[in-house]
Amino acid sequence: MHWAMVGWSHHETPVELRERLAFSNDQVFDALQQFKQRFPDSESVLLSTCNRVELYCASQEKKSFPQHEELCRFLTDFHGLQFAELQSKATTLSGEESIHHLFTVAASLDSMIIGEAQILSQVKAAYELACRGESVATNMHRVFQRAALVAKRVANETEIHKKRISVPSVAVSEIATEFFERFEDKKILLIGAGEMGTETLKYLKDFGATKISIINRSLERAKALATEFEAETYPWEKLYSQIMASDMVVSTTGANEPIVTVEEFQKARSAHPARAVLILDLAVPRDFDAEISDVSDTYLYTVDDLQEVCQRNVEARKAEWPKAKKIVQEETKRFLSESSHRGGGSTIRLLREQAEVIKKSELDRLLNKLDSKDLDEATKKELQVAFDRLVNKLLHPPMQSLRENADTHQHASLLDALRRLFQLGESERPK
Amino acid sequence: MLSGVTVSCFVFSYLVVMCMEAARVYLKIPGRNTLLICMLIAGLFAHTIFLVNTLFFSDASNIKLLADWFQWSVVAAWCLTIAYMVLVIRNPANASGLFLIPLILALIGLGTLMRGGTPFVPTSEGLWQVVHGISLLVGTMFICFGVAFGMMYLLQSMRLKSKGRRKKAKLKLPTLEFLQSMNRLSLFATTLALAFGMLSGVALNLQRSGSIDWLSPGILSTVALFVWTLIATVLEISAKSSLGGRRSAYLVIANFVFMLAVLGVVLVSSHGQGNVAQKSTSATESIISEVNS
Repeated sequence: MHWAMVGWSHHETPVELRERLAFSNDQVFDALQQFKQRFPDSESVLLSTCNRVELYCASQEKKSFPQHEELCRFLTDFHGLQFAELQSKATTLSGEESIHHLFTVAASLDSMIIGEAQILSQVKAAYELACRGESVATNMHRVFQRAALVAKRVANETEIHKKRISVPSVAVSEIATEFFERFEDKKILLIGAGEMGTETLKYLKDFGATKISIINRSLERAKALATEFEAETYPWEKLYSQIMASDMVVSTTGANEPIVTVEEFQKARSAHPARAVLILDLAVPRDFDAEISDVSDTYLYTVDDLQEVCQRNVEARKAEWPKAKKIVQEETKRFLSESSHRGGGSTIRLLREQAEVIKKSELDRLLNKLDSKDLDEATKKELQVAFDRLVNKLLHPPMQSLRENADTHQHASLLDALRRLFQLGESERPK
Repeated sequence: MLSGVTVSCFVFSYLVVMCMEAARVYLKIPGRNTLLICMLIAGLFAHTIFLVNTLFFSDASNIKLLADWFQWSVVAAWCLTIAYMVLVIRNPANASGLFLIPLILALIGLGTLMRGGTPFVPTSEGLWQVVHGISLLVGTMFICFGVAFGMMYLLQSMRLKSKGRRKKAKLKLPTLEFLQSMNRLSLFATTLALAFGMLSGVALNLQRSGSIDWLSPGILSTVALFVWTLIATVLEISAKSSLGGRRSAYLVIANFVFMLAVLGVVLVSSHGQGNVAQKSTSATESIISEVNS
């Protein structure tokens, strides 16, 4: 079995080049069709994300299996790019390395943000697209289905995915969850309608938040965002009254100085002395006066506080890295071992069939010759058994060697030798 | 039934559970939560066996059901342990045991100290005596429950305020919202239980002697405790935040301090206690009786 992978990823290739190499879904479909026409004996899957463009190939046939350069050129030619310009940045892998790489990618160990969950769904989508385009067969089915299982195993057996590392996700999943049991009934106020606020709202929605209010200097922008998140909007003048009425405040304005001062905050708070509030100030410069954190029952978190948590989580993910790599290593070996067993099975079958043909022809020849001697049925039976025993005894040592080396690196070499020595045909020779 | 089970059996289990909870700060033990739950179940099992033996099969002292401080304390400790068990199963990662187990052990310790003391005076006013005794027992349990959650609230609040130092904090505590809801629950339940205790005490006294000695130390302090919890509950109802505030935590802690003072007064004044020789054969007569002097 022959495997190969070529591609460009965030490790070596800058975003400007990756953008030029990227494939849309329609382009992936077209590319796979072209690939099938050009290399009919090969299976292929094309993975294109914002961080990587990778083409995975598999084939039983060595002779018709494309070389790395051919594969790279296929990708660059599709976009009308100069191969020479991109050659040095390409990653080219064969055999075990390409399987290992696919498992590593699917488990999100090769991602720009290690442990991010999106890559697995992208790998699955690439595989499904290839299935629709009928550019995959048994081998690609097996390897991509296994890749999904490997990713699942890494997710279950390590904590690499558990720690969030972006400021909005940490703000919600690690900070807000220390305060609240559930978010459905909490009144949440978003100040500012910027990108950070939008992302935080997405996470809050994922956690079940429903009572969301938005305040922004530009009411139009607030209303546009409110429509997206089914939120209410309030004019800027209601800022303090809304803060006081909320359980949680997320602030993300682009103001150059604090929009909420400690004096005004305390003044507004005097009307609600027992109400505790969580404030996530994600703005830089800060929207809330730092002294507000000293006010009783007011929990103020700034970007610095959250980034500290993010950094700790990055370190925690790194600590899980060896465990995850070990799983990928194990699974790669297991996959290859299973593949070689499958390849071994067909070789043994061919060998036995060949031996059977030879035995039968020799036995028939002998029986014809001895026909004039009037052999009785018992003698004929004896001869047949003797031939069977001869064949079995001849085949026993090589079969035993194969069995004994089933899980070693020698297994593939032995199978190869067996095919060559007995001339079992090129079409199913394992790698 | 398993007559060899003694107080030390379950006290030992609870001590081990507490040590395991405390060790969260220093050690990462694989399978800690499973081990902790197993030890807790073992302790609770022994505690239950002991209670059944003491309440239903002991005839050593002719003391009836829940008729002395020892039985009363061990039952209260058992109920708190059940509450702790529910919390552990709900979220084994939280270190609630560090706050609840000392209270459980303190109740058992108090009972052991009072063991063999004068039992409560048995009377013949069955129903009111049962309601009175059980109400005060429930009220005390909820006050103990509340103080544990009040302390947890204050600690969690302090940790969340100190943000940057959170990385050093290895103890996981429930969310502020959950702690606040437990504080509320304990306040409301305590007030309700004490109200029932007060009313049944009044009925008990009126039925027995036709009057109430409001100035007796036991009654006066219990009324004061009830009035205090009522005020605390009204204050709590006025706060509408999901996260509550430190004030709720201070209120439940103050409840506990108040209860300790009342308990002291009751013990010193021998409220509800009579001569050991005063025994009754009626089953209901043996429930706690504090308001009869």
